[in-house]
Amino acid sequence: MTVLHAQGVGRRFGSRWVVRGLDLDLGAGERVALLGPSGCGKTTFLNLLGGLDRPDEGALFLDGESLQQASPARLAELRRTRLGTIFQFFHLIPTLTATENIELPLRMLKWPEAEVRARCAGLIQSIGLAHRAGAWPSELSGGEMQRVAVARALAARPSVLLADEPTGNLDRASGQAVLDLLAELTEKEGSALILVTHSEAAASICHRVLRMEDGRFLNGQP
Amino acid sequence: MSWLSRRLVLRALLLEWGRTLLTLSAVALGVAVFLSIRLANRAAVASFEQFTRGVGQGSDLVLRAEAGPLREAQLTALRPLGEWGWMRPVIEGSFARKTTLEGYQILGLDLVGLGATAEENPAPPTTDVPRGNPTEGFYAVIQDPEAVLISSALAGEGIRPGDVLEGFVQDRPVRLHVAGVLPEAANRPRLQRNLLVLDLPAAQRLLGRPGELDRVEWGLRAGARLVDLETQAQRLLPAGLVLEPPEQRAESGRTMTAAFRFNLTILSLIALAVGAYLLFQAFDASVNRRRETWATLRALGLPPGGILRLVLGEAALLGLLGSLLGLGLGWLLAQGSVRAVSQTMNALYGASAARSAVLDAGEAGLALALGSLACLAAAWVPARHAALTPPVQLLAREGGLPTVSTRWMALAGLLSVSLGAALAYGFQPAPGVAWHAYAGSFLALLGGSLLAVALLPLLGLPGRHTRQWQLRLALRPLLRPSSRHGFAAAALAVAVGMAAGMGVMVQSFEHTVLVWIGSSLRADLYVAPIGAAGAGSQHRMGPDTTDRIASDPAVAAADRFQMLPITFRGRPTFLGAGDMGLQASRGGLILAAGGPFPAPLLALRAGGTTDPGVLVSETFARHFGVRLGEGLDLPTPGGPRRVTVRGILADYGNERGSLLLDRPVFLAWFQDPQVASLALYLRDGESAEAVADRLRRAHPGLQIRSNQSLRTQVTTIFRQTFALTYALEAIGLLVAVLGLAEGLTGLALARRGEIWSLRALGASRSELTFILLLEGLGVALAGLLAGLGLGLLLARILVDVLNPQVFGWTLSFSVPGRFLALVSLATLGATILALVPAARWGAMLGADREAEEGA
Repeated sequence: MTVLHAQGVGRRFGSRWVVRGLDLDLGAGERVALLGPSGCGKTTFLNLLGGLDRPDEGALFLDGESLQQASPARLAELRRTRLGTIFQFFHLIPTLTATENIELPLRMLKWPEAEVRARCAGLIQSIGLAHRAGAWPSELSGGEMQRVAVARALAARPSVLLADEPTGNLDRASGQAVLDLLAELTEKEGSALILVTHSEAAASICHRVLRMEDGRFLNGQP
Repeated sequence: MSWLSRRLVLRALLLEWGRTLLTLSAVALGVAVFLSIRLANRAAVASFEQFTRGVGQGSDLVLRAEAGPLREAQLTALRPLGEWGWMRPVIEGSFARKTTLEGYQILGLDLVGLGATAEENPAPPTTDVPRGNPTEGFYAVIQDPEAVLISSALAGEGIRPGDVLEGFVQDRPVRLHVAGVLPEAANRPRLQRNLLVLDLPAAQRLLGRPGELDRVEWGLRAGARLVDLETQAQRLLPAGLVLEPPEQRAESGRTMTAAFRFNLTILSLIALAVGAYLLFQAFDASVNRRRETWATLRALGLPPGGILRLVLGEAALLGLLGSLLGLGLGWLLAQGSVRAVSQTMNALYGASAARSAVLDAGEAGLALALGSLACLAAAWVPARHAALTPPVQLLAREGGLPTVSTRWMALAGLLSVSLGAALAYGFQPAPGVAWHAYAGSFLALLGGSLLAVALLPLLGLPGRHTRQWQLRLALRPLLRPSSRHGFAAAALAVAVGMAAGMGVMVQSFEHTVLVWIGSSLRADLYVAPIGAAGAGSQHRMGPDTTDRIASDPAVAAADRFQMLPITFRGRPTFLGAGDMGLQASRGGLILAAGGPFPAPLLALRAGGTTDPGVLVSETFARHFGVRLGEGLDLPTPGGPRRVTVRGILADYGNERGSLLLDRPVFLAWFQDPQVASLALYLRDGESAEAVADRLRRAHPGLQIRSNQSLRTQVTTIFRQTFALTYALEAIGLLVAVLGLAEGLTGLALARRGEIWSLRALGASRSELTFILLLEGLGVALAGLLAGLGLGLLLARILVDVLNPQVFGWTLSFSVPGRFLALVSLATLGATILALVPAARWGAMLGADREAEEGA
């Protein structure tokens, strides 16, 4: 079943097309890597898929719902309920503890208190940071911060997880741990994953790899 | 300008035009407020000095009586001095124009004598009057006893030679014939608009003062030395006359108005200081926004000095452009504020008629330098930060702002406030000196601003425990506030503190004055010549008029009150005279010392001229260091008279202070039957309004006011006096609130990573706006609470220390709840208005940044 569908998507800044003519079908629980050099348009495409930006041409559907036609409020709601995002630079909220960062999407969704606690306890356990639950982001290592970011992105059980170079700011060992965690948790939670990376090793956790160059998929992929 | 400057400074300013405009507005506003107050002050003081100086320019000495008029006969003793100097007698008075009821200054000069001395004085003794020019109406003035010369400013309003000015002198209707226009000299300030020059005998006749003068101006003959003239004059000077340099009167005017002008200047500097804080926020945000650029430049090998030059160059450019805008705006504002300042000085000191403020190169240069330097100073810290921070640190996207230690802030704040209070209350320097009160207020301001920062974690506490995610995100940053939070709260605390402090002081003042007026003004009607205003007014009523009014069948009793300027112990003050018997039975003067009312008044009446007594105002007692029971040598036309201080009065009428004699004693010593005002007590059953209407019809040259309308007028003048103060406070508050909004955009910039991830997590724009708004409101609340506390402390220092010390006024402290509520609501309202757009902008910040980065 397709959870995310992109058809002929393009985006330009000024007169320059950063991405153009991109098509994608993402199945439920499928993991797809977007691989390509810096500046090829990976992040721009990811932002379009996440509803953080709007395409200048083409169409995008999340679970059959058009992202272009959704109001800003509806887009925010979709991001809250069906999409999870992980950034290269973690972007944890510095004034919230590790647990509170993971709780955040659930509190935004007004989950009952008991469910919030149970869900977060499970997630922090699964990322191996139960002992650091009360730590501030500034007290965590890069790998730990990214694990918290993964847990936060998965907290609301999104259908699609969008990860933008999640290992780009980590050492090899920490990066590998985060990739393993991503694979394990998306499998367990049933979420699809789009992984933006320029690393072949990182892409190896995915079922499918799409190569990008100059804003287009290579060789008529997918 | 280098390639780098053009690309990185000019282009950034153009691309970020919104921020550029905000910064330019801040500079322009600060410079404009400062400049307008300076220009208005200068114009009003210049006009005041022109008024006090009269035609004194060109003379070397001025001769006047210590008290009362100078008689022409007294000058005969000085005839032998003719070989050293020439004399120019002057008499002054007032004329109220019928159509406008506007007051004019009458100047009586010996025009024939002036014509004669002109030959001897190549440097004209006075260029303010024409000499021997028939086309200017000179001979017409001499020949016609009702002919006057007018200023060119008045002539510019359409009044021409041959026109008739109808109006009143004292209480009599008169028709003055415009005979000519006074010439203006190219190298001298313009003559004041409301000047009417008459020949001396005509002026004496018109003013009903034959043989009397107000002063004699004395100039040296060619070859004579001033020291010889002074020595000879002192030898021959009759008792009761004093010689003083011509500048002395203008100088006393400058000193007299110094406190008022100083207060305005301080307020304008505060507006500028708060404006500088706004600039700091603007430059800090600007530098922070471009930290990747600075880091890249550093990485590419540009030395720290190069970055410092770029940032400071941008600041200097904005400072210069903003100051240029401020020059125009300041000049415009000055045209409005000069009227407010003049009105106040007129009400307080009795003379000023400035109509417009002039901007000269000196003032413009000062304003330009001030604006540019303020920008450079504000940009210095951010510029150093950009130049000296390692590039890696600048590029660290999660790198937050340094946090402040609120515990130390609280301790330092409490210490500073305590020291300030101790300094203000612990010293008692000489009257008029108040450095300790100003220093104490400054320390209190400093402490209050630190305490505002220390309040932030308390306001952030709900964010620690709440499960509501927006509250959590909005309030948590306040638990460990950054330097930017601290600056914003501190600046708002200073602005609110100043506004609340001045406001509470003014309201306390008003409350005190209203109680004083309520007690002092007991008569049913008050009569004064039209145009009379302030203690220094020269408008008088003659005995015929006052007797006629007093004998009206509706009048049960009339208190004739006279007020004269006198010189006491070499300093100007006022001598008043009223009917103490009537005051004792019907009045209600408030006594600060001397026993319960009306005992001191009855003692004055009983003492008569055999054991003469005097009441002095509290201001007089403080300025001259006079105590109850002390003997004073009061200058009178008949020589000094020994009087005993029988009581000290509360009096808020003027800041020079006054002495009060019983009328019979005054008449015996001064032989002056004229009065400045008349208080009428009506018979039972008489309607005050009906009697007032009847008297108005019978005496069109007099203004007759009921008790209520006089009280209303006094209150109006009082509020008018402080209107400018309120306006300046409002500008200060506005600038602080704008600074808060600017600060919030800076905070949003610092949290942009956070905002971006919140958006990715599904936070809507309105939710993010709410979070940022709430954070800003938390900061505003800290500033407001600390500011209110600070304001109350400042008000206490102003009421308990500064006013008694500088003005000699004891005020009762009252806290105006409604005013403080209004300041709080206005601050929060303005804060919300300013923060909403800033928060909305901040809420969209993440998307912009990612877009800027391209792929």
